[in-house]
Amino acid sequence: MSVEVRNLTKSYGNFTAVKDVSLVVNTGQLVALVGPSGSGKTTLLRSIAGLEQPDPGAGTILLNGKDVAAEPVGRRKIGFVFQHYALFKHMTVGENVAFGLRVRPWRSRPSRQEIRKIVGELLDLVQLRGMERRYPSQLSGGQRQRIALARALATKPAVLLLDEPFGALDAKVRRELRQWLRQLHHDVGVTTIFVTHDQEEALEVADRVAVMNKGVIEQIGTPTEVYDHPATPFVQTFLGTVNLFRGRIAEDLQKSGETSNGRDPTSPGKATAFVRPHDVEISRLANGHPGLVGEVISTSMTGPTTRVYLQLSDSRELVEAELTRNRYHELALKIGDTVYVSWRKAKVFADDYSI
Amino acid sequence: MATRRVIPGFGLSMGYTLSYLSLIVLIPLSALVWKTAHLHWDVFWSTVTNPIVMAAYKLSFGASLLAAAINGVLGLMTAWVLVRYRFPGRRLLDAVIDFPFALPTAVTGLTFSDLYSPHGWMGALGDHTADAANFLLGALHVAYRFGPGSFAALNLQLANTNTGVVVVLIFVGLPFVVRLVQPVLENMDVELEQAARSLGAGPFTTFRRVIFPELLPAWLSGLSLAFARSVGEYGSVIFIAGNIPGKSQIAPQKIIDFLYGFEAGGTAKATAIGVVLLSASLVVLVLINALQWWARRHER
Ligand SMILES: Nc1ncnc2c1ncn2[C@@H]1O[C@H](COP(=O)(O)OP(=O)(O)OP(=O)(O)O)[C@@H](O)[C@H]1O
Ligand SMILES: [Mg+2]
Repeated sequence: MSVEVRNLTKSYGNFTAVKDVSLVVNTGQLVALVGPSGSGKTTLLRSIAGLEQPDPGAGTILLNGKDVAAEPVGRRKIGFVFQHYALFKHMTVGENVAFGLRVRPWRSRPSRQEIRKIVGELLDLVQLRGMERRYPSQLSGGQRQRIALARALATKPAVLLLDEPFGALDAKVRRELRQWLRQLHHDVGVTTIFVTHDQEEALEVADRVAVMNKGVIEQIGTPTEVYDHPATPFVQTFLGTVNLFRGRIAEDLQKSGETSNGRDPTSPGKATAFVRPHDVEISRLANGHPGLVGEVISTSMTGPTTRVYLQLSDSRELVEAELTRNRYHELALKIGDTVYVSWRKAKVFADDYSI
Repeated sequence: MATRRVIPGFGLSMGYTLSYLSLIVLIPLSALVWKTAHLHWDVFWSTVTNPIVMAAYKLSFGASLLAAAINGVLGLMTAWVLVRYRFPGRRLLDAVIDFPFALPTAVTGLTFSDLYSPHGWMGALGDHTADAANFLLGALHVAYRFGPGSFAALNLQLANTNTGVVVVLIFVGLPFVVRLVQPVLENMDVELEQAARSLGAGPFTTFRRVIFPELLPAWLSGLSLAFARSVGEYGSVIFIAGNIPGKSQIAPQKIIDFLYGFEAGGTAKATAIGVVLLSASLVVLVLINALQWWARRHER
């Protein structure tokens, strides 16, 4: 089932949590909603589910092309997984998973054996077979999360909405569940929208990423598109660390290296170049390029790469560079060394943008 | 035990609790039983199985159970309205709930017996209604008048009736259920309800299968407290009860009769009835606690 949101606005009192947002998710896609805390991700997701009503006359939600304004949450064929699981404490794991089937009107309710079979299959799917008789309080956070997912899947929803599914878990479990979700989505093929404020998670798992900020979607695209071709400075800074080089377009910025598209680099006026740490180049020699001069402040080893922090001698700004181990050893950098800084790739935005 | 020891000084606090409990609760209770033990078994048995005494038990326990059951429903509804709705006067209503706690029992008793007496507001509600209707008709220049007995069905003359006893016990026990259920309802995650609704459950199913089970332990506590309080009520019930031995006499009244009567060994007989009341209450409370234990099975 496809999901389409058209010009949705949702306010609480006189505070607008979601402003004129439009979004299309095709059948079977896995889309991530990312954005900082308070950017309206949960509000958007809850509006799609029907747990929140859009402002009167401000927005339409279409499921499979059909306006669902009049449909209550129970009839939208959605599965919703809450940020804090919302498992029923007084029911066993098996009863939790079976809930959506048991509350059906008896005409369409599967028989006991069928329900037991479906619950067993779902517990297999979330790799928790044999835990039917436990209560939620006897499970770990990650296990509860997966039960919440199994419970939502039991009714065979056409759309799965996940609110920060891994939010409360530690980094290692998150990474495992991320891969597992990717695989699950591949196996089940249900249209999925999941909220996260972890950009890494969004880029790794999703087919497409929607970046939200202050109630609007700033950009929607594949992970490569949003990461490599950010539409706004916000997207650029939100999806990973960036260095900011302020200067004048055409003169300073072009002088210190190649710039990529973004804004026309020859137009006059102030601009900022956004450079990812792994696109920063450090050299001992000027190399013919009239690069910027900086001093090595500190270095730190982070797994396969090494981070080098530099201070530019003219603007006193700090720059973070990420070098491969080989390059780092080749340069033999020491704290206090003076080096030349340039970049392989930058994204230039004229300064009428604000972050 | 070790895993639950968060605060140090277990020995001291346990010892203190036990001696305190003994002083306040256990010693008087054993004195009661001890006193009864002076009675010869035959006398004890004939005292506690005397038909008049049996009728008194029946009224006391029956009315208390009925009142507790009604309070279970009313109290749950009241708590629900107080937590889930915002309306003018909500805070006032919230404050009024504690009223039955604060009122001296004799005042409650007098108020109710007067209200439901043949001349009280409720006791003569039908007559008052007829008067008011006739006044209105007069003001509207309509010739028709209601006869004196037209609304006789509304004359709620419950003074000196067993129904009156139940009404007073409902009043006395209402705060327990409300005050125990209210905080649980307030702290209940709305996402539980939303999850149930998103899984296709209707409002009634959601209440029955998701909300009520969460409230059940607190609700049962409220019921058992309301019941326990009702069984022991004296001051508030005594004025409205008919007090006809064998028909409308409550058990505590029977105790008083023995205590102040001129019968030989009256005090011991009074304690005998006390012991039976105590045991019966104990049985009911144990039953309710067992239910609660079952309702909390998921917490273990
Ligand atoms: N019921 C509500 N009443 C008033 N304001 C609300 C309500 N729910 C959300 N908001 C406001 O709407 C804004 C968006 O909230 P939302 O929960 O959608 O953010 P979010 O992107 O999910 O954030 P997080 O990552 O912290 O979960 C926030 O500023 C929040 O304070
Ligand atoms: Mg949120």
